[in-house]
Amino acid sequence: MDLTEPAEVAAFRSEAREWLRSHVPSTPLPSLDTEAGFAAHREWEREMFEARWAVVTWPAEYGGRDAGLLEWLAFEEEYWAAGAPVRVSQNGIFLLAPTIFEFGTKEQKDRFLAPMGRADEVWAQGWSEPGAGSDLASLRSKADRVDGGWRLSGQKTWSTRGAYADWMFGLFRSDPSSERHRGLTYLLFPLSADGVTVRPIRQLDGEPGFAEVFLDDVFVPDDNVLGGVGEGWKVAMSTTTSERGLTLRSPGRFMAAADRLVDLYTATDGSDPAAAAAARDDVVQAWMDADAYRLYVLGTALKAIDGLPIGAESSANKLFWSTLDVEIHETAFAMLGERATLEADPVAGPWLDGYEFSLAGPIYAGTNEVQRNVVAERVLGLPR
Amino acid sequence: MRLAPDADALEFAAGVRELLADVADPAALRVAWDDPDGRIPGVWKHLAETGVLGLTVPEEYGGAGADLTSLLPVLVETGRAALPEPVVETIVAATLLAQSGGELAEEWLPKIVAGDATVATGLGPGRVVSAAPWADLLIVPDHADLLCAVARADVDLVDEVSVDRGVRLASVSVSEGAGVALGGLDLEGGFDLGAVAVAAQLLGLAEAMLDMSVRYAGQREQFGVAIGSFQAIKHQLADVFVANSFAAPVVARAAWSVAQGAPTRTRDASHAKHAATLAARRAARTALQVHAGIGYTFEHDLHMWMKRTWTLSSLWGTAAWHRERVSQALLDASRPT
Repeated sequence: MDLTEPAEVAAFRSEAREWLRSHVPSTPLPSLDTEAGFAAHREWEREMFEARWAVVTWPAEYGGRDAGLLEWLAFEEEYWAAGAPVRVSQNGIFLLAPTIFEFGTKEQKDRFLAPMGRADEVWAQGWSEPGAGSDLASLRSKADRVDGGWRLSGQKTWSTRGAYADWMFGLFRSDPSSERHRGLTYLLFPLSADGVTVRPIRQLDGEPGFAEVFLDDVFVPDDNVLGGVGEGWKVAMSTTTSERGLTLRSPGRFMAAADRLVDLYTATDGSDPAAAAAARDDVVQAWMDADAYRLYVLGTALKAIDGLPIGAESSANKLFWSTLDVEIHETAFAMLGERATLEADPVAGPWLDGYEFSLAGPIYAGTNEVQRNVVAERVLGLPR
Repeated sequence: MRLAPDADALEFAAGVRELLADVADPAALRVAWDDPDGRIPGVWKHLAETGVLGLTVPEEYGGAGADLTSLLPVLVETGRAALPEPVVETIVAATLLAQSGGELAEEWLPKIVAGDATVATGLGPGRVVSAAPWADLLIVPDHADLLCAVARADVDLVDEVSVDRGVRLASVSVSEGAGVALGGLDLEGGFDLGAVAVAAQLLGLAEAMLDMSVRYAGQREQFGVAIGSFQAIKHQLADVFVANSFAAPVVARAAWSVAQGAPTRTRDASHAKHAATLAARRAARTALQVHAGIGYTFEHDLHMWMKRTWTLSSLWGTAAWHRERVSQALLDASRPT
């Protein structure tokens, strides 16, 4: 066992810290889910990309630094500890990009990666449908074969970033006679294409954080098929494994939130002193859980570096971080006392935003009920 | 960087697992539970011969000079087997004796390595000394509350009978003038070592109870199907798996901190005992619920694992005591005065 951070990782960490210290906006950007906030977040991504900090794990030829997993974890810790903005390009850089690296053609990599990294093209997810949520394989949106490509019809919903995004990736039924996981194809298309109608949906916080997307005979050329025709489920599963597991929910984010929770407890300004005192045990529990998550992900990363497979463990991971995030924010909520729901309060407001956001965690990327089934069946081997 | 135990340590632990499956299976455990002595004959000598008891003893006393990170997977195995032998107490005692050096170390450490002596330690917040009735030597507070090494013949023992027949507990008092004073030892370090070692045993217990429950849920049929096909069962067992999975790296990190004498050692050790206790308690409750009626009997093996979980969660500091120690390190240290 050796938990000493390697010198090259420590050096990478301090370089990231230096850059972030002098570049992270001193006042928080407006909400990502407003038009102005979206533009401001896009601008921040561009600034990071120009300095090659936007996508550190990507190869240098696509704007990254070829960073390994340990460097990535260090970067994430520094990023969130610095209080840097949430990532508007998250769907693209963390979910789609690993899939493009794995399944994409050279032309697709050259076409899509750099604009994604610069946030010139922000991506929305096209998974869920009105009739296909946790049961994603029951999806019905179609891709009909036509000369030179496909014509899409149907409806996607709960598309995160859908209100302002530029492109969508999603799954479509390309073989009309197929059922469930077979006969699906993974397609990429611009939301500005003819036949696409985007209807923003106001989320819990009142802002249009996701959207319904109606598709009426939308043409998608063959070049925009990711992976093989009919291989969509396999291709998509590589994305959802990323989403549930390592890449989307970096420990740095929860550790930073847990540290802020400790600050809220120890500083008397902002929190209600009596309420804070009563929350002492919960504060410590939340901090310990964030620390446990950090260690677990480190262990997973070290396994991956050793070439060991990371499989259904990502479901256990998703269960833990989504529960942890709610736990951190509910504890803050309790400590804020009667100010907890005041949107404009300088201390309570950001915690309230975080609380609402955390409540989505146990729902998206496969509800936690589905994840428990996955753990029970695929990890523990219980009968279906 | 490496968070998992080294390959050597894993291989060593696999050997111990095989040994315990052979000499300390549930049938042997039952016999020990019913025996007034409460130990499994011969196992202590086997552990010595395998090298478990000397693994962390310095080489000058005949040990292997390894640290807690190497012993950790073995401790998990002793938990998995619900082994009624004073491994943790003896390991902690050996560490303190090695620190004290001198004649005491010369006399006792080779005996510990050879499996010829059992030593009990009473450190930490409680007064009940685990393994005291088995001990040849005790390292306990003397009449003035200063740590001393004292032969069992020179202490007053009052047996405290636990519902867990796989342990032997006693209240110990040392009369004035008895024992050899042990000064200048890192008692907190010794306590942290014991807490992390017990945390590792709790992880082993938790894994064993999860395995038992998964096996049972796959076999037991009701309403015409295996009960493990019901989501109500699946979700409880998935939660046990998650709790176990996230406690394990916390315990591993604590072993590293103890071995390195890290500045965060105390906080990490308490986090480990707390997390492992919660995970094992959850595993025990869930295992009982999944086994239902049969699990609530003395005939089924589960109760021995459950009761060991209760004992180990109570000894070496309760979960609440350890959480408070983390609180003090985390909250009070940073609170502006």
